[in-house]
Parts: sequence; structure tokens; C-alpha cells
Amino acid sequence: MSDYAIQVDHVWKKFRKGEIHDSLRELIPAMAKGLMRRGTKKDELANREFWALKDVSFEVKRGESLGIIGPNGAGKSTMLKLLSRIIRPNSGRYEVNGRLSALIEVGAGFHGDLTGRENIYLSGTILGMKRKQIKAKEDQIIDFSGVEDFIDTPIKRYSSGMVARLGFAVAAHMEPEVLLVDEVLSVGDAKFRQKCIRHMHELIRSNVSVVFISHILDQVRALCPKTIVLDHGAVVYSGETEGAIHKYMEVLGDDGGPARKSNENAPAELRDIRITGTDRKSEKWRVQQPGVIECVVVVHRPIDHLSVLVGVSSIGGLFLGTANSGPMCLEPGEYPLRFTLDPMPLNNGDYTLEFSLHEGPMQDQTVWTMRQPRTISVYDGYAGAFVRFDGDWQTLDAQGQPSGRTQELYLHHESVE
Amino acid sequence: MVTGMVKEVYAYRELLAALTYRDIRVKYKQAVMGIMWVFFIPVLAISSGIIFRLAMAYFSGQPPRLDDIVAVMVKSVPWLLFASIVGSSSNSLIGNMGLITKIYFPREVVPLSSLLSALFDFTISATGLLILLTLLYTFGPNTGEPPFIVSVKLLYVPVLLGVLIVLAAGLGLTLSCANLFLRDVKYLVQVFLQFGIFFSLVFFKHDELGSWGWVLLFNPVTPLLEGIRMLVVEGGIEPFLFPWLAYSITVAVAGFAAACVIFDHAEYLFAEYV
Repeated sequence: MSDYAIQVDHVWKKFRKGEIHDSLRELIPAMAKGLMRRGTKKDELANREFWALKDVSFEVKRGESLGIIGPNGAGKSTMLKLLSRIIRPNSGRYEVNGRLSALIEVGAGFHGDLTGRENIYLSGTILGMKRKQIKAKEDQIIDFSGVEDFIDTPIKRYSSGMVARLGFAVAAHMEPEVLLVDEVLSVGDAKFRQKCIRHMHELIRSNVSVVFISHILDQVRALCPKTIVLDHGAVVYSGETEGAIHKYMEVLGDDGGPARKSNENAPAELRDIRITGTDRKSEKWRVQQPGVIECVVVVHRPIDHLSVLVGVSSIGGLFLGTANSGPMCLEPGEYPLRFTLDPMPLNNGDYTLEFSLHEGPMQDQTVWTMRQPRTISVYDGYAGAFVRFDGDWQTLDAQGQPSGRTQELYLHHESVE
Repeated sequence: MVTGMVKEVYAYRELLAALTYRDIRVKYKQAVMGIMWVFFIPVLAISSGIIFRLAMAYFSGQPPRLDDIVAVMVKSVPWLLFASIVGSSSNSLIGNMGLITKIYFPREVVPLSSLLSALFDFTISATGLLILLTLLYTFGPNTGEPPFIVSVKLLYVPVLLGVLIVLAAGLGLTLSCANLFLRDVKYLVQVFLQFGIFFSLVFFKHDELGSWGWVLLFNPVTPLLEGIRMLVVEGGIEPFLFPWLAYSITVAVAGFAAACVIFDHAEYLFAEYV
């Protein structure tokens, strides 16, 4: 048996834009063509067709997990649908070795009029489980979902979160050898999501191969050592997840589309933005070292209250905070600025910085925004949290007065040894 | 190819069972009348047939005959089976689109589960009809001749029903595909099924429509229903019907085979052409 759980070899898939066959006049020639499909060339694009997947190749080893990221419409879900045999490629080959389960939608096949318990059996069967298997796992599934109090209630009375949890619980208790997951781990509350991620880790540890699609990059980072980036149907990166995330941000930047606000006729703008460490060379920030942002404010007409704002977000999109220059009174001209972030409050990971200029004493008029956010990596710290809270830990004496620092206790411990 | 299909459906038999169970369960779960619902439509159909027979008896100046009413009964129930298989399976793929675009399984399972749940309804209403006929036979008005004839030849009735089911299955499979690509098929099917009860001679005999009545035998359902009527009411099939029955069987088998071919070819397009 092959070492590979999934092998995808130069797969092409085309789709058609616009309305398809809404009249018999169109359908009959198309069906006739379909019946003698071998006569036509599969790799040619007809009118209104486009490639949803272009020459995609990748491999997943047994017990390995692979992330697929890319902008909307890049072909990620198409790839998973192909792997799960819902659609067929126009050319190219792929092979899946092992029992495959696809989590393309939670609660697939749920019916609102049936109770939670009945739906467990229905959805489980649809996902490919045998009745016996479901029966054996029924209690586990109900327990995992956390909806035991309502398990004999028709699910049309469930909240959408409950439906999603029950759906994921069923799907998670399949016994696949190859698992495809498409953007379903974003259901439920934070606690349930963590439970799901833990469960996925367990699956991977038990030698299940996983293909994982998500826009939540932190989840991809947590689950997949390797990731491919799709853009417009083609693989533009394949390798370490860190690199993939950078490529992904680049791709997002490429076709960012129109800025949120037109910068034309702006009274001022930012140029020459540089983001560096303290050595002014590296383009990364190091935990507990100052980070430096330099830029030039170009002022076109006198401005009373101009301020520079740098918005910091996690790469997953969580807004973390802003660095604000405060209002400046400026005549036309060029003003180089430096902002030093000291000490670095961010932990390991990738962050986006969005630059903008604001006017008015309340900074309430946005006069200029940068078309594309910049990204920066922070390294050498603890992964898994965005922000560090550096401060003083002190020991207190009997009166509640500071008597020393926690570090001293550590030194003391070492000297005793 | 057909063996491949059978194998795959067999591998997914639990899914077939689960979908059938779902269809049945959902249908009867919230109905006030519960399972009595199964009898509702047959009773309505038979009653309208009886009205027709009464009207015909009135115009012909003869008293209504019990065997005519029995004929309406034994033709209505199979006709409703045919109509409900065709009607529900032709809508089945559209109704389960959410599944089809998200999960792989042999698509035949979906229209087949509609067929099975229609068969479930039929089994119950046919049992009801059987009980009614037995009561009629035992305690019915004594008019000299029995309203129907009990003979070994009644064993042919299930055979004709089998042909009817194959015919309906082929039509349902084809229409379920067509329905995905052309949304107006649904309305066509509705209209045809609504008036089909007349074109299938459910309320009449083939010779009651004058010299052109035989044209309706070209509807492959008609010879089957006529055959069932003759077996029950007349105790045997009139020889002239044999070629027509052969015709129905040919249409049913060829139609089913063609449906499988069409389905097999169109199947992989379902998820993208919706």
C-alpha cells in the first residue's frame, strides 16, 4: 500500500459562468456532447468557461496534515469536492488511499422535523457510518455536542449554534483514514472550537491524514505543519505553513481592489513606510525588543490637526489596537517620523499594520488610508497568544508592603542548589 | 454498468434505509391523522371514480354495478402508486440538493428512497383495500354474481404491479435528472400526473370509449391497469390484451435501462449544474 494518503497529479477543473442550460434547446446538444464526451477535447475552454483549478498537484502522507489557504474563490472548496468525489476533474488524476470522510458542511442531511437523536443516525449514515457504529458512539456524540438536554427535541427548535455543535459532534466521531475539513471549525463558541481543535489533534496523532481548509490562519498554524496556497485555481506556494501564510498575505495584497476611501486630493499622505527591528535592518520584530516604524508624512496644504494612526491586527483579523501619533500642526512639506514600540507587546506570529492619516481635533476625519496593510512577523517569544503583559511581580511582606521581586526568589532557589 | 450501480447502491443500503425512514417519518410525524393519511388520497380517488360510475350508470339507464366499482378500486390504488413514485422521485434530487453538493454517495439512492417510501404508503393502502374487498366478498350485497373472482390467476397481479413499479422507477429516475437541469419539468410532471388518471383509464374500461378507446392503450400504464382489472373482476386477461402487455413490459424495461444510462452519465454533473 502506498505511503501517501492523497496524491493529486496535475488536476484541472473548469466551470462555467452565468446561467447554465435553462432551456431544452441548450440541454439536448449538451447532453449529446456529454454522452460522447471522449470525442471532445477536455482541456479546452469554451465560451464563458474558466479554470477553477489549474494544474494542481500535491501529496499528503499518511498521518500528515495539510492546510489549504487562499483568497475567496481560489478553488479550495472545489479541490475538496473533487477529493470527495462530488465532482470530477476535467483532466489529471488523483488518488485517495483509505476510507475518506469529508466535513464540508456540518449537519449535512439534518432534517428540522427530526429529533437530535434521529438526526445523529441520519447524518451519521449519510456521512458513511454504519448503524452499529453510530449506536456504539451515540453517547459519546451526545456528550461531545453538549446538547443532551434537548436530544429528543426536533432540531428546528435548536439554536443555530446547537445544530452546528451536534453536526460537528457526529462528523467528529466518524472513523476516517483520510479527513477533509472545509471551514467548519468556526462553529460554536470559543470553548467548543478549542474542543474541536483538540479533537483534530487527536485524530492526526492516531495516524489520520487531514486536509484542512480555513481562513482562520491561527487554526491552520495550529493543525498543519505544511500548507499550500491557492490563488485563482493554481498552487502558488507549497511548503512550511509560516511561508504559506506570508505568501497568502502577499496574494491578498495583489488584488486588494479599491481602497476603502479614495486617496485622491488628500491634503496629506504617507510615504516610505519602513518597519524594522531596532537594528533598523531586519524586517521582523523580536519579542521584548523595541520595534521601529518609520515613515514620511507629505503635507500638501496646511493642516491644523493631523495624526498618524497605525492599526494592529492579528493575521486572523482580530483587531488588537492602534498606535497614535497625536495631533500635529503642519505646513506643506515632508516630515520624516519614527515610532518606537518599546517594549514589544506582541507575541510570536504575523500581524498586519494598517496606516492612515486623520484630521481634526477628535481625529474623526480620515484623510488618507494605505491601500494595502503591511505585515510583520514577531519571533522569539511564546506562540499561541497575541499580547504579552510585561510588568513587575513583587513579593509582599506581612504589612502588605513590597519586600522584593519574584526574580530574587528564583535566584535564591538557584543559590540553594 | 448496471451491476456497478447495483453494487454501489447495495454498499449504501443503510443510507437508502435511513433516507426512506426519514421521508416516511417526516411525512407522518406532524400529521394530525397520522397513518390514516395514507388512506386519505386513495379514498378520495376511489370516491371520484364511484361518482363517475354512478353518472355513467344514470345515463345508460342501468343500475350501477358493483364490479365496476371494484374495478375503480383496484385500478386507483396502483395508479396512485405510479403517480406518487413518479411525482416524489422526480422532485427528490432537487429536494436533497444540500446533500448532493456537499457529500458523495451514489445519487441513485435519493430517487430510490422516494420510491421505497411510496411503496411503503402503497403497502398500507393496498392492505386496506384487500381487507375491504374481503369484507365485500363475504358480507357484500348478494346480487347473483360475485363482484370479483377469486382464482389462482390473481397471482399475476403482483407481476403486473412489478412492471408498473419498474415503469415508474425509470420515469422517476429520468425526470429527477431532467428536473435538475430544467426547472419547469417539475410543473409538467404535476400537470401530467393530475390528468393522467383519465389517460390511464382508471375510471373506465378500454371498450367504454367507443371505437377509438384502444388509442389510450399506447399509454404503457393503461394495459397494466386493464390487466389488473381483468384479473380481479373477470378472472383472467382477455387474449387481445397480451400484445399490449408485452408492449408495456418492453417500454418499462427499456425505459428503466435508458434511465440508468442517462442517470449514470448525468450523475457527476449534478453537483455543479444545480
